Amino acid sequence: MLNCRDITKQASDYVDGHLSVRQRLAFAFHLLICGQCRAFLRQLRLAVGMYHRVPAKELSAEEAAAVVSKVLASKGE
Amino acid sequence: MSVKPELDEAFVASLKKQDHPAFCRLVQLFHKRLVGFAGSIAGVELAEDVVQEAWLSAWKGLPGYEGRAALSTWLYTIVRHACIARLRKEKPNFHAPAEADEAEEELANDGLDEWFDSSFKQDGHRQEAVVDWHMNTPEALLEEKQLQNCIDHHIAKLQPMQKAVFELRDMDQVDLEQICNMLQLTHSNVRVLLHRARLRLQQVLDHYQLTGEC
Ligand SMILES: [Zn+2]
Repeated sequence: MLNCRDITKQASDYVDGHLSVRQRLAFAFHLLICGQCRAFLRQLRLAVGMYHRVPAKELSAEEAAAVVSKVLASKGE
Repeated sequence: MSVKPELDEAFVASLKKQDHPAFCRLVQLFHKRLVGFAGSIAGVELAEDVVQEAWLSAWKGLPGYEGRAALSTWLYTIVRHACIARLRKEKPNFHAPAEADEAEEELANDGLDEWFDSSFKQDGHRQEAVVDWHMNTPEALLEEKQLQNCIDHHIAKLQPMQKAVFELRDMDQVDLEQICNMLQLTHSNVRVLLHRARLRLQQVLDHYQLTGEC
């Protein structure tokens, strides 16, 4: 029988789909009786979904051009 | 990730011809994350410099890029090599990085084990109820600027390997397999590092949801 600590330890593997059928069943059984772990997993999924949507941090076009000039200028060294 | 649709065949073909605007766009897209990655391996002081060296290698290597590895993986690999070369130069007795050892060390010292011990009773039940989040859609979380700054701040404080894995997997959505190759880590190591980074940030989110403060 899994307890809340076990669930917390393996939560990412569960959320990311890395568990075996047997492990998933054990998870499902615990989640059936434990609202706390259901909330924890829901919030973990929510956070991961948010990280996926965080816009990639880009340079501005000017900054990129400046980096490229510098890089290509160093070519002959 | 917003970047992926752009890395299509036409774009790669332009890059292979060393098309200047395409290369600028590539730099624009990847520079910051490569600097972050280099920081995890070589330290923040060297990161910017090392990535510039890596860009030069990339520029020279582009005509020969055959697309066997995804462009992002190819770039990260060049940066990793540049980091190692630089560390060898800076520290003569530097021995090849054993990321696996570093990962093990991080896992032993990241404080998460203590967190588990204090958060759960002997029988595995929680000491305290799970914090109930009132902001409960990804959009709501994203709109909260102060929270995003807070998360950035705590990502920066993660241990280097955890940070690298977390950013590659959860922010840039790079395949697990590719991350293993880039960092020379096993699947299970990558998964554990990722999970521990997430748990750390989950605590940050809990705290913010409770108090409205970072
Ligand atoms: Zn539970």
